[in-house]
Amino acid sequence: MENIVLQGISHNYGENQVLRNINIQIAQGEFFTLLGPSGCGKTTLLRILAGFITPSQGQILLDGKDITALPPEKRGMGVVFQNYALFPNMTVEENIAYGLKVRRAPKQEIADKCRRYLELTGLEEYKTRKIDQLSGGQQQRVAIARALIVEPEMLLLDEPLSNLDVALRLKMRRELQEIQRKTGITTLFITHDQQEALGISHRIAVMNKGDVMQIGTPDEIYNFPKNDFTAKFVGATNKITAGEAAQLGMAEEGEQYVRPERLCLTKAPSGIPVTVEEVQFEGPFYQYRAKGRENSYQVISVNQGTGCPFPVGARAFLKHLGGNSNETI
Amino acid sequence: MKPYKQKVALSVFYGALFFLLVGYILYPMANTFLQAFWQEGHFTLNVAKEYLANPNNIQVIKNTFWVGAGSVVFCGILGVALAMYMAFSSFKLKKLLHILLLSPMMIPGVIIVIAFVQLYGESGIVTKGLEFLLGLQEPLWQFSGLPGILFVITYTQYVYFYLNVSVALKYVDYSAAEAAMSLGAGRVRVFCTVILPTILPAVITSAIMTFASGIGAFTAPNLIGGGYKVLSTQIVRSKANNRMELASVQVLFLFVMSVFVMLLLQYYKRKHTYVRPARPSPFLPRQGRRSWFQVLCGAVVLVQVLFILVPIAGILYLSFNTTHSIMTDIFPMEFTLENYIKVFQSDRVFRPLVNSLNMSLLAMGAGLLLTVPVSYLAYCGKNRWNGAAKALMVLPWCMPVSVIAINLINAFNVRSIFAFGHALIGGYYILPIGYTITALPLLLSSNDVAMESLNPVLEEASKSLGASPWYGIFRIVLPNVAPGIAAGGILVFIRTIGEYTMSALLYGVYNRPISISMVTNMQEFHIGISLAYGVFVIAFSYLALGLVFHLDKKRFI
Repeated sequence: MENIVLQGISHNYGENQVLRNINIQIAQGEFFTLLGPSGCGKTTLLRILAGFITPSQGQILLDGKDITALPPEKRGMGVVFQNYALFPNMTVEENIAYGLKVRRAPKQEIADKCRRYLELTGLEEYKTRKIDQLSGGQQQRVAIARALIVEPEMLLLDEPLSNLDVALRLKMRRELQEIQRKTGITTLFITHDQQEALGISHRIAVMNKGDVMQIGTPDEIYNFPKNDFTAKFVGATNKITAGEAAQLGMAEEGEQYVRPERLCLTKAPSGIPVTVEEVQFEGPFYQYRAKGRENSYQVISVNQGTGCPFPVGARAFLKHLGGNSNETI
Repeated sequence: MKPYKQKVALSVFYGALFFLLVGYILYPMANTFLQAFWQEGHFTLNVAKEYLANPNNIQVIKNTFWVGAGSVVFCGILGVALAMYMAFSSFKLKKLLHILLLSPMMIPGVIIVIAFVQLYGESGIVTKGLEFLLGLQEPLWQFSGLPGILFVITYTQYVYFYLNVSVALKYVDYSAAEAAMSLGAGRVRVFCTVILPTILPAVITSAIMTFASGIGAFTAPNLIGGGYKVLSTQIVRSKANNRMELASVQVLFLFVMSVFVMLLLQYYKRKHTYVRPARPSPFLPRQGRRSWFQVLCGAVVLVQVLFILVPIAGILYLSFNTTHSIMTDIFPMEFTLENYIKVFQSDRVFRPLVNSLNMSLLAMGAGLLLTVPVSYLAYCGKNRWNGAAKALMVLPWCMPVSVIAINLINAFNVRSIFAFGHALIGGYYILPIGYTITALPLLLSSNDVAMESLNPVLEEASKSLGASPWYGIFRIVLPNVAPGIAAGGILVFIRTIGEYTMSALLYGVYNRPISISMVTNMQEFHIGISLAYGVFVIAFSYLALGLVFHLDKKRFI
């Protein structure tokens, strides 16, 4: 059953239309991601869902009830902001307890729930600290605990990992997934990072310039993009002409997109002859840019541990590895 | 769409606010205009013509302008130089020195003038001491006239330039200075092309404040001006002679002068305001030996610190001496606690201290009550009512204090609807009302800075957790902006407690403030009591200054 339904949501800022007829349904317990470049409207959509903005058109239904006109304090949405928005005049525990105090929960209930969410987010030993005494990752966990403790209908996360360094981001991503799995809360996650979206989500909506380009599982989005934008935005891709597809011996005919990991370089004289123009070593794999007669191609190969097999200037042949490629445009 | 209740609350708030702002700022100004130009039922320029027909009065207007211009020049040179020295130097006790350099802001002008008279006047300790040591028959200098006035003003008002330019220097992108040097620019060119453009808006803002303060100065011209007459002293004399139409004309000249210069400088400021770099590279002072120029600058700063500390030490020392000794000895040595005992024993002597404390607290409280909601509503978003309210609150900034005082006299010496059918002149509350009006621009600016430091997302976070807007204001907004707001309030309290110009024009039997008592006691040769008052005010000021620095370190330290 759909927990949240966004029906026909459009929004303008003056003459500028930032959202165009958005229709999204999010199921109970689903981890749903809005993925898109800066300015595509994903944060505006989150703020509409949270109640900070009233949409120019459209409706928001929560379990069948229209909440479009409800103010934010009455919607029951838990929001985790990009810069966390923790209250600097309160300790960790006071920040987390804030929502319960607003609801005038009994002291014992507040104490019990605080203990539970401090444990859930690994913050027990920091509960008396002020916010400025915490690291970025700890602050983020406080923000999550504060949003979850009031048991909202839905958790809205506005690029919560964007302020963290790479290693911490990966760690927090796993923790976020774990918390969502344990609590089973319906979650809307905003990001411009494709890897993040693919790694964490049950389903993704790819957005561009106020439109939803495609909704699907990470597998569907990555392997079966339905349009140019999704194909190019989510992962790298090569645009192959019909002739090249025939040269590569591909099953599908016609012009299409092929992911770099579906191509390989080989010394065997079969496929498209190319010259290696650029090599980037990225640890687990090599990224090549190889130039053929009409086109340049991106190729990713797993690092075999024997050094770079195709250095810059090497001549090779481009081969298709078979399996699914992108649908014909 | 705002909920209905919120709209009603806002309407009531703005209704009350505009009633007060129009009633106590615009309406009094209009009354002054009428007083000056409306005689016997018709518009007339006779009073103004009569005033301008006297060449002495033209000279008074010119004198007033020169006091303003001179204040800007001398305060500018001293304040900017000190700010640059402090920004580009690194040494121990730098913070202490910074606090000392800010402290003249806290000491009321009347106390400074009295202290300077005791030190550098014709019979002052320093003057007589040098006469004695050098075997002179006459004083080395005359601490009066324009030089004396400018000396006092420079001593107290350089702080505007110092503070504003110090803050502006933090936003200079020193990597741009390094880039200029790498392209062959010398220090002077680097200063003119990189540093000066960034600090110019702060310099102009300070110039506006200093000019308005200078032309409205009353304490120094009144106590040591001698034959050097300015508009503010004339205004008080006209008021004392009950020639309110003449006082009104004089006030309008002062107001027009202030507004004209302010508009000119604002225009210049707008032309020379640039976008600050998002992440300016901070200046890193060089370690190692200091150049002779740095040593010389350090010496100048030390001299300035001495100039700050000596009057304070002087007042403290002399307050423990008998009046007889102060008046007859070069170095008074007849110590006594009698001056302080008299302050507490005699209600007549103690009452002005209590009056000043109460009225300063009232002004601070009333000012915050008006300005905090306006600052908050401005922070929430633009609306035309708030814009209009802010414009009215900022208007006193370009009104010298004597202008505000005469406006209030003209408006409230009769029953007024804005005073709910009462005449306020001669009563207790007219003086704290005058203090409040003078304080509005400072409080508004201070509250705006405090609000700007607040993360706007915090209120959204509060709402997302189910809190109503009012709950968020009291639990989140106010606790976070309180230190900055309190610091502004305390600054107003300090500046009000020893205020003299407004007091001289509006005080009455019921609200005689400490500044008037200080001057009266000096004139009645109860110098010791006057100095004891001064010590109390300085003590309050320094305590409050410490509190301000503690509450709002970022802005002041």
